[in-house]
Amino acid sequence: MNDFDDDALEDFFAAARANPPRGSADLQARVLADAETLMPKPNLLKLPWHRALWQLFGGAAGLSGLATAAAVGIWVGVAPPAGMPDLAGQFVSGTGNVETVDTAEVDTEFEFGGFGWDMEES
Amino acid sequence: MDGMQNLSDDQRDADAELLQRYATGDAAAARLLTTRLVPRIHGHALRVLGDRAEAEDVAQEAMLRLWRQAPQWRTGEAKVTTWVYRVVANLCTDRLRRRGAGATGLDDVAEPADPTPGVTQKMQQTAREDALQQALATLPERQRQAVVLRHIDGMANPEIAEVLGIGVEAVESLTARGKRALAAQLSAQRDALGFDDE
Repeated sequence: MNDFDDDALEDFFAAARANPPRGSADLQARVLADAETLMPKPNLLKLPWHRALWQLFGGAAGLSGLATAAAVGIWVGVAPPAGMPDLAGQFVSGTGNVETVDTAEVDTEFEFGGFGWDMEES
Repeated sequence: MDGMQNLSDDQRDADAELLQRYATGDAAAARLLTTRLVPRIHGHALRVLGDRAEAEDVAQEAMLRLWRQAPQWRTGEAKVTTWVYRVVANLCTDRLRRRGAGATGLDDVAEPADPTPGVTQKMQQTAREDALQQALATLPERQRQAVVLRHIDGMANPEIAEVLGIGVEAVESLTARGKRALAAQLSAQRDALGFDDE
């Protein structure tokens, strides 16, 4: 190999290895977009139960939406906007003004006539 | 996967596990596989093709074929990296043949890197990298691919043989001839670029 020995050549390879080229962020995005497009739909019956449950709720996107909705619900319940009843406060203090129904006054007899079941016996 | 050697049972392939997870609809596995594979195959394609845009297209196409292959992937038949490198090698060969001899791009392989070495050392490293890339571009395509796989990607000869679809002896021959040609090219540039001042 003339006067250029293996060690000298190895210096060049080492320089190349020390500075690996970096792909652009756009390349990563394109590859991931392809992956998303081609990704098979999960078969819940073949997944372990915890991953099936995860997928059932829509994965990370679905669960983050669910968590956000739950947090907003709790927030509105604890600190309701002006004009809305403070249901959480009434519940905790027991001072709620809840309308009750006297079941004794409720007519529990069904009127089947409306359903055509009052056929006259012949 | 066809024609590739089987792996031994104790050789676990983490990439294959990720690919199987992807095939069951696990998007996180796709992100991990992308992070693990794309920089390597893009780097390889860039060394072989010498053109950043072409290298990115090749890397994207190879990954696209991997995503398509995922539902049919059979663990144990081949390593995912070997399979992907084989696709990349074929795509590079197609592009080089379409491009024709002597038209290899040399646009932007060397990049600014971490400023940890001294400025002089860094400049020399960049000069070496540029010189190597120019010398690689003069090699016949198979020699170039074999040398890059062996000495830059750090792949073992049996795996290179699978990637290039040839025997191990042919790999040894390609890399030996490739290194001789590189040495001849770089020797001619050495005095001009001051590579031997260490």
